[in-house]
Amino acid sequence: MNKKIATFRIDKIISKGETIISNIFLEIFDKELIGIFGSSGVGKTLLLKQLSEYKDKINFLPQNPSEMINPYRTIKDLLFETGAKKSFIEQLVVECELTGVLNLAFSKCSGGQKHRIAILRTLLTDNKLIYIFDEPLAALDFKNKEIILKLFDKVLKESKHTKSIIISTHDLFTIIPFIDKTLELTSNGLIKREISLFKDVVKTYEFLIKEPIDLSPEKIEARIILLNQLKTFLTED
Amino acid sequence: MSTTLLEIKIPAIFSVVPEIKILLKNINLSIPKTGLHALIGSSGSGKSLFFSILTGTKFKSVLIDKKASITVNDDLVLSMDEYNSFIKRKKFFYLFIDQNYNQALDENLTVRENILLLNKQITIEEINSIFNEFNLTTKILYSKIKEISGGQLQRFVLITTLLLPKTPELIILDEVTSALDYENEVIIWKILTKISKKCSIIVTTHNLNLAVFFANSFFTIKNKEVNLVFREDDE
Repeated sequence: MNKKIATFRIDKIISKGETIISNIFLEIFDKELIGIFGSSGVGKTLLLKQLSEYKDKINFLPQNPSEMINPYRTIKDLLFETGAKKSFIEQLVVECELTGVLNLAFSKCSGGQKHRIAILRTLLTDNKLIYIFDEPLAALDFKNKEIILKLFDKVLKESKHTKSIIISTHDLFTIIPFIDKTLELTSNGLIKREISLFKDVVKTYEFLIKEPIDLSPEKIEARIILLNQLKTFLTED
Repeated sequence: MSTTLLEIKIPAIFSVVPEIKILLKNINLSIPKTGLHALIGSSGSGKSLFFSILTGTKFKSVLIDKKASITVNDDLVLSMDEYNSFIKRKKFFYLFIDQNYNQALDENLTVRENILLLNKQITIEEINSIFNEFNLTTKILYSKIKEISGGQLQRFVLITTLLLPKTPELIILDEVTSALDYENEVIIWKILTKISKKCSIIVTTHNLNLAVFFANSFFTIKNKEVNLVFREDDE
């Protein structure tokens, strides 16, 4: 097992005089990608903001990150000013499919590209232990989601430094193949959920739909096979 | 009773300007009278061309093979020209809904007034019963379109299809869910499942994870071909 890099204990988080979340206990290990999910309004953003108070250890990227970036700077400048190793940046630029836009101003990029650039830039600022992203997959199409998850994977595997990533998301299905630990946020703490792609896909689905699934086991299996076929179909281009 | 709404046979569709090029080929598909059917393909794969064929919209400088035919409701075989004029004469009733569809509503009028513009005959009991069926609060009936939330508007747009004097035979939905968060998207899929018991719905979507559990059949569009890759067995 990798070494533990942080433990957070938060008794309660109070917002506007009301206790929103209590009993947070979170252990973070090196090279871990942690997904936090939970119903809308349970306080995911609040928790992530609270964690990001430890500014010396944590780099936090809020939702809609592209609003914070100077729109007139070129992508090249935005990425190389992070101080990360040139070869590493170049490799990740390819990984993020950004080669074609390096000389463009940030404002000239598409929504998906902007999102990837903001995330990549945060990851390249290589002086923190923990990187937190609030809903980094929201409103992205399937291909953009995969690119970002693969980027997280690559950065964790290839970085020589101690590092781990926490993301909040609604999109359990997409993260399952990539994530190391899934935690459900409830008003009374974080609950660890074991989720693996095939075995628990029905459970995941039922959690999202909030209804029992109305298909026989054979039919569910056929649909999971179909899901994987269609994903391959869309990425093979 | 027949279960097929459209039987589409098109050997090839060409563009003629600037050069003759095949756009889509070997189309041989059947669309059932009910159910939720997903069309999956990356952008630029020809989805809008395929929809323009189904909706009888003429593309400039596009040629369709003369042997093409569309069979409507099993017994009526039409050439493409006949099919287009058949649609013009409203013998086949379809709706095309994309992200701009709410512009068809008048945002300065209330929800109720907009419903009455679509269907003068509808009674308040009918409206209430449809709103209840789809868990949409009847409180919004007296709010202006521009005052209701994005999620409510999206749900309302979809159920307007059932508030018309006549239920459409086919509804085409182009990427209507792509700007939604997960929870609202689930609500939309549930609504579509219900509507699809009464008519046929074709959707395009990027969210395969939800689509695979809701749609009854899947078409893919790639390398200029449209293929059926999955259809639920009859139960």
